[in-house]
Amino acid sequence: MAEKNSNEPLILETERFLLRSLETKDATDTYISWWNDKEIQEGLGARPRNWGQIEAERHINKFDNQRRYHLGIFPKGEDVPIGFFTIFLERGKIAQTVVVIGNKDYWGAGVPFEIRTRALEFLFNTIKVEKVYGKINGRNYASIYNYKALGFVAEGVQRKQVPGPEGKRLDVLFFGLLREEWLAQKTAEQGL
Amino acid sequence: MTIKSEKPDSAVTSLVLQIISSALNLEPSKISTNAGIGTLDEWDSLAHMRIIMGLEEALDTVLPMEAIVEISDMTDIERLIIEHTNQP
Repeated sequence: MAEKNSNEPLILETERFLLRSLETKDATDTYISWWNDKEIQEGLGARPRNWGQIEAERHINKFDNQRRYHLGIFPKGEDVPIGFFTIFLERGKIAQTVVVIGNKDYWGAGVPFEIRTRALEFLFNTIKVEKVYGKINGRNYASIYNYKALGFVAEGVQRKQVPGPEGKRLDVLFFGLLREEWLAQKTAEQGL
Repeated sequence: MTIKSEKPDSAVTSLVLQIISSALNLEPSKISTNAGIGTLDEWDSLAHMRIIMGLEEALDTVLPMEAIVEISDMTDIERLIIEHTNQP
């Protein structure tokens, strides 16, 4: 698996957004509020974190821009992010991704589809991973849609795998996309 | 509703159209039989969520995740309804 040669910040561009590595200075009130928002955290199958500045900065600083990326999603021309996109490179040429849209005005606006499409290019073409996968904790139907719309395959359900925010245990659902599946999609798109 | 066949009958198709129409805020006449993710612009992430919730409400059940992940288009929903109503 190829890695970026340095831990310089990563920048990816889509039609509407700029994705760039978050830095300590990005631990703003907006960013922190997403971790403490009940509705947003429910989408992740979690409780509000009750984070402050220290926890937010500590979280951002865990990402090295080589094996782990924490990218802010910035509408072009704006300096306030609407969410973040996280990539974990794992052993065996595998990447896990997580997307969180914090700005609720952008819910249902196709953001995960747009940024994951670009991230898949980066992961398969630049990093040369063989597989990208994601997990959904609980019954997050919008996330299921987002994976299916990109051709990810549902690989399995781990029943009642994690504790949920309301005291009930949650299923964890796995979606994966193989390099050959992604390439077949690209070929099909070009043939249209 | 009593449905005991393997193929969707008009009652199932009508129910599916009603669920999708309501979720997508579209007239049933504008929903083709191949409607699904990627074939209908209105079928976005929020609509998908509303479709599943509408389906669960119509069947008066909480569908297992294994069933929910199978839903990509109208045919999948028809099949799910038939399987559900054919259960002993």
